[in-house]
This record gives sequence, C-alpha cells and structure tokens, in this order.
Amino acid sequence: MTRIDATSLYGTLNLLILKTLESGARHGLDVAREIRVQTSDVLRIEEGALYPALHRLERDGLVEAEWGVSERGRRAKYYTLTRKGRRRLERERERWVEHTRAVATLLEVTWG
Amino acid sequence: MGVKRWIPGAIQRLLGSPEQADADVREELRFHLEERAAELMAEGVAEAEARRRAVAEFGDAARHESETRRVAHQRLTLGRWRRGLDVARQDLRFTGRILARSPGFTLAAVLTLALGIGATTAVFTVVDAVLLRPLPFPDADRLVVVWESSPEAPRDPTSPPNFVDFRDGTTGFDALVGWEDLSLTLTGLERPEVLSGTGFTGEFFVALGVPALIGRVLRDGDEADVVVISHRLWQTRFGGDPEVLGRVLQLEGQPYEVVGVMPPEFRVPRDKIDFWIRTPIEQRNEYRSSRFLHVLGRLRPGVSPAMAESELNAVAVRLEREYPVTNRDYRVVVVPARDEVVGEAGEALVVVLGAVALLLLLAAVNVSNMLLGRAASRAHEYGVRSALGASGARLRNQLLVESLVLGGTAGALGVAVAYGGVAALLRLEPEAIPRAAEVGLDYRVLGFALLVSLGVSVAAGLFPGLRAARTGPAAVLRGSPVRGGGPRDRVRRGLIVAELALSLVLLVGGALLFRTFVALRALDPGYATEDVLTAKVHLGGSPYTSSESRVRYFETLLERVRAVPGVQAAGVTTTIPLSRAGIDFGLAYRRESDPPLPEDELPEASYRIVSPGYLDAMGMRLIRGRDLSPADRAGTAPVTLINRAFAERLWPGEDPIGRRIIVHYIADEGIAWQVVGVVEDTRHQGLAVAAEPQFFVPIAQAEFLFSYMTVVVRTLGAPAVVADALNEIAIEIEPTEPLYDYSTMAELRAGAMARERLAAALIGIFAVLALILSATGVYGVVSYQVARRTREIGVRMALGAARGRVLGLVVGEVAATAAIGLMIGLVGAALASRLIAGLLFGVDRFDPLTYAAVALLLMGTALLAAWLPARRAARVDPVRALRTE
Repeated sequence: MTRIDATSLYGTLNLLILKTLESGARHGLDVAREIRVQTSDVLRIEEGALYPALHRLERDGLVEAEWGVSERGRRAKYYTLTRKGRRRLERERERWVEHTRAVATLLEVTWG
Repeated sequence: MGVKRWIPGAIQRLLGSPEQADADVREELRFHLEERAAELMAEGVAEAEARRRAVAEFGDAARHESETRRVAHQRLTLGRWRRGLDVARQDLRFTGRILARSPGFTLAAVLTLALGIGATTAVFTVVDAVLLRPLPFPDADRLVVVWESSPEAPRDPTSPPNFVDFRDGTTGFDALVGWEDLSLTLTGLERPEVLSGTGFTGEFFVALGVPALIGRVLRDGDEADVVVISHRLWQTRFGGDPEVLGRVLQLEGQPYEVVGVMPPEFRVPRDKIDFWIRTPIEQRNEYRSSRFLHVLGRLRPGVSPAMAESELNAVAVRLEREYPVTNRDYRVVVVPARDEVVGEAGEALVVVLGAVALLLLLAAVNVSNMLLGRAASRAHEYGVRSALGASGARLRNQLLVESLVLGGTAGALGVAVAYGGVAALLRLEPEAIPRAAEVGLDYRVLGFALLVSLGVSVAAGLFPGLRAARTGPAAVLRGSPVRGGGPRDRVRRGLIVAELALSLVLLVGGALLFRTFVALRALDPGYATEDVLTAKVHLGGSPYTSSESRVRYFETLLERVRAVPGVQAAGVTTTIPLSRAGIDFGLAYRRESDPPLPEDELPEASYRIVSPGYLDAMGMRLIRGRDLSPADRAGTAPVTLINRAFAERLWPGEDPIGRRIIVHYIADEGIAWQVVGVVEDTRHQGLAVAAEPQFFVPIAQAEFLFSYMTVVVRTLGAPAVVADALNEIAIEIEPTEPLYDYSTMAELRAGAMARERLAAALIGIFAVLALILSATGVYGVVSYQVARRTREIGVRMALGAARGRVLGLVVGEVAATAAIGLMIGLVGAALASRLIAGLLFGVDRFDPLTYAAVALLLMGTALLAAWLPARRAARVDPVRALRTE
C-alpha cells in the first residue's frame, strides 16, 4: 500500500485536524489517532507536526484550547472547533473535493 | 470524554505569561509521547519498543517543540492587542452611554469647546494667510519696498533724479524698479474709460518673477509703445479674446500695442489695475523735490533689507550734501514687501489672535470645570467600578476617552464653525484684511484645529481624571458624602479666579475698542459724510493743456452739474479727505510781515486748489470771513482760505482776515495771498489724525491748475442717480474725458474705520462670549458646591441660621474668590492694553472708568450666577437635608 506523507501536503494537515475536531473536543494524541484510524494508515503524518499546526489554528481563532483531564486521568490540552473553525472546515472541504475531482478528471482524460 | 470546559478566569490569566506558555507546550508534548507509548504497551508492545516507536512516529521532537512555542508566543502577543482593542471598544461604548445619559452636559461641553476651537481656527486661518504665508511670488522674502523718509514724511516716494542716483549707487539689488500711478483715458473702443495703470522703469516683471498668462511681459529695452494688460481689462473690454495680442490701445491719444495679458491673481501694485507700460522716467525732466515715484526692489541673494538700507543711506547722505534744498533730512527705509502689504492690519490681527487665544483658554477652563464637577458627582460610579475590579489606570483611561470623544466632536464642529467664521470675517471687513483673496482653510489650519481640540480635551479631561482615580472605593461605598473644603475646592476656586481674570482682560480690551469706535463715529470730521458724491476727472486730452482752458472746463462742468435735479452744491478740489488719491503737497510760506528767508528754510503748509462751491459741497464750515467766489479771477487780487490750525499757527489769538501770506511755488518771488476766510479744521489723512495747516486757493487764481481733480457733489439722497447724470454731462462736454473712481464720503469714512470696526466687532464678540462663559462657569461651580453642601447647610439652618445668612455665606465666598480674579484681571488688562494702544482713539488705555465698569459688570455677573443656586440652598428644608445622608 502506498503511503502518502500528509505533512508535506500543503494545507491538508489543517483540513484533517479540523475534520477530526468536528465531532467534538480532542487532545493532540487523540487527533493523531483519529487520522491514523480514519485513513486506515494510508495518510501517515509526523505526529509532532500536529502541535505547531494546532497552535497555529488556535492563534488564528479556528480552534479553542482548554486544559482538561484525559481518559486515563492525566492533565491534557483539549482542542475544540470555534464557529469560525467550523466555517473554515466547510469551505476547505468543498475546495478539496473540487480540487481532487478536477485532478482526477484531468488524469483520466490524459490516460484515456 | 470527560472534558472540563470552563476554567476560572484567574487560572486563564495565569496562562498568559510566556514562561507558562513554554511549560504548557512541554507538558502537552510529553503527554503525547508518554500516552502513545502507554497505548502501544496496552496493545502488547514491549516497553522499550513502545517508547522507540512513539518517538519515531513523533518525528523531530526538538524542532516541533520550538516551532510550537514560537506560535504560542505569537498567540499571546496577538491576544494582548485584541484585549486592548476590546477595552477601547468598551470604553467608547461606555462613553457613548454616559454622554447620552446627560445630553445637557454633553451639549454644553461640546458647544463651549467647538466655539473656542472654531473661533481660534477662523482667526488663525486669516492670520496664517495674511501674516505667516509669504507673498505669492518666487523668493518673495527678497522683495522689498524702498521709501525716502524725513521727520515730516516717514514714508515718502522718491523723485526720478533721486531714483537714478539710488539705482546707480547700489549693488545690493538684482533689480530696482521705479513706478508711478497712471490714470489714462482709453479711447477708440465703443465707450471711453479712464484706466488705472502703472508706468515703470527697470525690470518690474522680472523683479516680481511672474510670467504673462498669454504673450509676454515688458522687459528692459522694450519701446514705450507696448502695453501689458490685466486679466480684468482683457475680460471686460476684450471679452477674453485670445487674438488680443497685437491690437492697439489708444491711451490718452497715444497708440500702444498689446503684447501680453497677466494672470488674474497678478494685481500689482494695487487691486484695481488695468495696464502696465514702460515710461522713461529718467529722461523726463523732473524736479528732485517731486517725490511721486514708488520703488520696488528684488534683493540680491544673501543681502538683507538692513544691508540694502545702509547702502542706500550712503547715497542719501551724499545727495543731502549735494542738494540741501530738496534732500535735507531725507534718509531711506527698506521695508520687506510683505510688511508693506500687511501694514497696519497686522497689528489688529495679532490683537485678535491674542484675544481668541484667551477665549479658547477660557473655554478649556470651563469645560475642565464641568468635567471636574461631573467627576465628583460620579465618584460613586467610580467607586463601584473600582470595587468590581477596574484598576485606577482603567478609570483614568475611561475619562481620557470621554474627553477625547468630547474634543473630537467639538473639533469637528469647530471646523464647521471656523468655515462660517472665516466667511463672516471676510464679509465683515474685506477692505480691512489685506490679501483677503488668499484666505482659505487649508490642511495646515485643519491640523491646527485638530491639535487645539485634542490638546484642550486632554488638558480638560486629564485633570478631573487624575482626581477621580484617587477616590478610594471604600470611602465612596461607605456612602459618606465628600466634605466641603480641602484641595478640591481650592482647585474650583482657582478656576473661577482664572475665568474672571481672563474675561476681564477680554472685556476691557473690547470696551476700549468699542469706545474707540464710538468716539470715531461721533467725531465731527469737519465735513459732511452723508449725501456727498465724489468722482475723479483727468483732463489728459489735447484741448486742455493750459490752466485757463482747464478753468473753463471745470466751470462749465460745475455749472451744468449744479443744474441737475437733486444736486445741492458742487465743486472741484485737488484732494478729498480720507482718500489717498489726489494731489496733496506742501508749499513754503511766510507771513508778509516776516523778513524774507531762503525758501528751504521756511515752514510748509498743505496746498489745495478748490473751486467756489467746494466748501458747501463738502459740508465744510466757514468760521470767519467769506467763501471763495466766482469773482476771484485771474485779474483780481489773489485770495485764500486758511484752516483753523493754520490761522492759529500764523496769528494766534488775532484776526487773520485781510492779512497776507507769501507762498513760494512757481514764481521765484512767491505770491502774496490775502486771507479772506477761515474754515474749520478737517480730518484729512485719517479720522484719528489732527488737521495740519492748510490753505485753499481758487482755481481761477492758481499758478498752475492740474489736469487731475476731484469733483465733489452734495446730493439730496440717492447719489447713484446723480452719478449717472454726471457721467452724461462729462461725456457731452468732452467725449474723451469720462469721470471715474466714483465714491461717496460715507464709503470713504467707512473705509477709514474698517480696521477699528474689525477689531471692535471681533473683540466685542469674544468679550461677550467670555462673559457668558464665565457666568455659566461660576453658576456651575456654585450649583455643584451647594448641592454637595446641602447637609452642612441643613445643619446650619437646623441650628438656627437665617436664610439670609446662608445666602450671604454662599454668595460671600464667591465674592471673595471673584475679587481675587478681578484683581489679577485688572493687572493683566493694564498690561495687555499695550497691545491695542495703537488702535485706540479718544480713550486712554488705562481709562479708569472702563476698567471699573467692566470689573463691576463681571462682579455683578458672578454674584448673580452664584445667587441663583444659593437661593435654592437657602430654601432647603433642614429635616430633608439631614436625611440626605
């Protein structure tokens, strides 16, 4: 199975993070796990890179962070989508779909 | 997921420091690595392997951590800005609510400030345009005007021979130009018209540095038969025809080819100008004593007016030595052109600027006072907010925002006031303000307004703000009212002192100027100023070259004018009062009984040539003897009228009728004029200028009758109707000699008082505003004090104090305070009166009556303003007052 390094796909990491937060608050490790599970390991990310990305999203007001307590009773930083983040997710999702569809069409035409 | 959503704000704040942010990032990353390893171990991976894999999945931990920290720090900084903006927005919103809650206060404060700012800006606009900005010429600071100057005539034009010597004897000028006023009759177009022009020698246009709008300017080497015309003449007589170049103008029968048209804003040497021609003044055979030539110079770069002046004075000293008869005691003054243009108006404008600055100060004091009063009455609010966690700085900032909002609004409104003010100022006295056409609000003035409004609002807001922030929350919340006395009351009393002192200075100035104006109005100038029409005539044409032909012309003209319905009297003269135009010079004289002396050792008296009927037309009064009559002709004995000043100079206390004076003019031995009448003195040079000795000889007996004369007509109402009739008559007699320059004596008198009227009107308006401001100021302070001392007053009354005594207590305190302010104001007014001394007439600048009246008026105003709230206090019901606790 080909593995794609999602860290190097520009803008993709942000989209993935926002998407994983859509269903509720998560800490960083939880986000990493969700991406791993949901993409069946196809997209591999360097998990450390999640943190600058999460903080950037927080800086830009797309996510909010709060310290909470993890499943195993440890202090952990939880991120939730802000309203602004939710809007951004919708927009990015549409753009991504359009983009990939366009690329796919182009590839089919060329090879067909 | 058991997430604790809300964490108290205190902890949130603890997260705000960079160190804390770093620690958080470290903890967050460690959590990830350790929990991931734990996860893997739970899946059955050995501990060492689990740790290795967690680290491997994580990537370059050091890099990720430092990158995360960087972003976290950025977030902190951004957050601080956002919070600041939030606070500002809150302050603004709060300010809006506060100001809207007391619209009366807001309106009063904004209007007071707007008035102060607007008036200051308006006056500064005018001062800026007139005094501060250079004249609209390139390197205008190098343009100067050169005068000859003697003890009798401090600003005299020069004579052509003197001019040539000055020009050739100096090196400090790039150009030195001599010019004379010309009035030449334009003929050959559909109607004749007397045009006003300038004849010059030298590089006139080069000195000024202004090119022609179309065509070219006149240069050295041009022949005398070319002319440059003004934009006005081009528009009015040639309809702006671009083909005007090359056309020929008939001026005084001589042809001149038009070679250029000047731009509309070029109006040198005076506003009403039609043409410029070159006149070879040097080649004309003029006397050294005929000083009619004006001199304009452009200094060489690096040469100061003083340097040029000393160089010219060296020439003047030489001329005095060589020509003692004509040049004795004559020196030279070099005046920067701007000073010459601005002239005496500058003095008035500086005074007005000073007055308006006082007014602005007063407005600031008043608003400061209002804010101070409000700050105290809002002490409770501040206490509550402070108890709820607002810091002192936050409260101060809130107050500052309030005053900035007030100041900003007032500034915007003030600019509107300034626009109106400038327009009103220019309409009020366009003639009193030189360079009026250049006046306009510009960015510098707007900047000035902004600066003033912000400065005033911060000064007015900071003061109360600092005090308010000092109010402890505990004291306020305990509910104890603020007691009287103490530093706060001293400040308020200080404000009353300042307000009254400033008002007194302004009111004394206004009163002195107003009395000047009244004195000038009430002044009997010795001639009529109503129903008198004047017009100039210039017999340039060929049939009128001899005195005899001119006498015949004027006699015919006057005879026909007197027949016009509505004309009561008519005459001609060489010069009319209050007008700079006309021929006005002195001649050497002696009493017939005095021993003969050389002409240049004799005193001089002003020489006038008038027709019979002139006295009646001008409304001058004969106080002794008879008027000139048509029977005083060339063949009969020479007779003259003298004015009272001359009579007192010649034969003090004696009857001058029948005596003779010898006057030296054209005839070497002089002419013996017999005095037949004495006329009352007239204000000739200006309303404030006492009469100099004058004598009047009849046109038929004058040694030489000039071609320039002024016709004076006494009318029965409607001078305009008579003016039309005059014009028709003149053209009927001689089609090429129309009358021109019509003006009424009422206009001339108004013009002569323009500067005084401007100063009196403006400072009067400012003084009234000052009076209102100080009255409202005192009222505000006392109202506030009384309200605060309700309890004290209640106690006093409960203890048996009479109402009258309470009233006296409050009013008496104000009286004592006001007295201090008025004392200071009196000293200030006495000092400031030096500034307006030059504008005063008929009143001493220390006039005790004025000072006393103004001080009384202000004291009365202050007491009234104190009495109104005090009366309220005296009506206080002691029981209720004690319950207000």
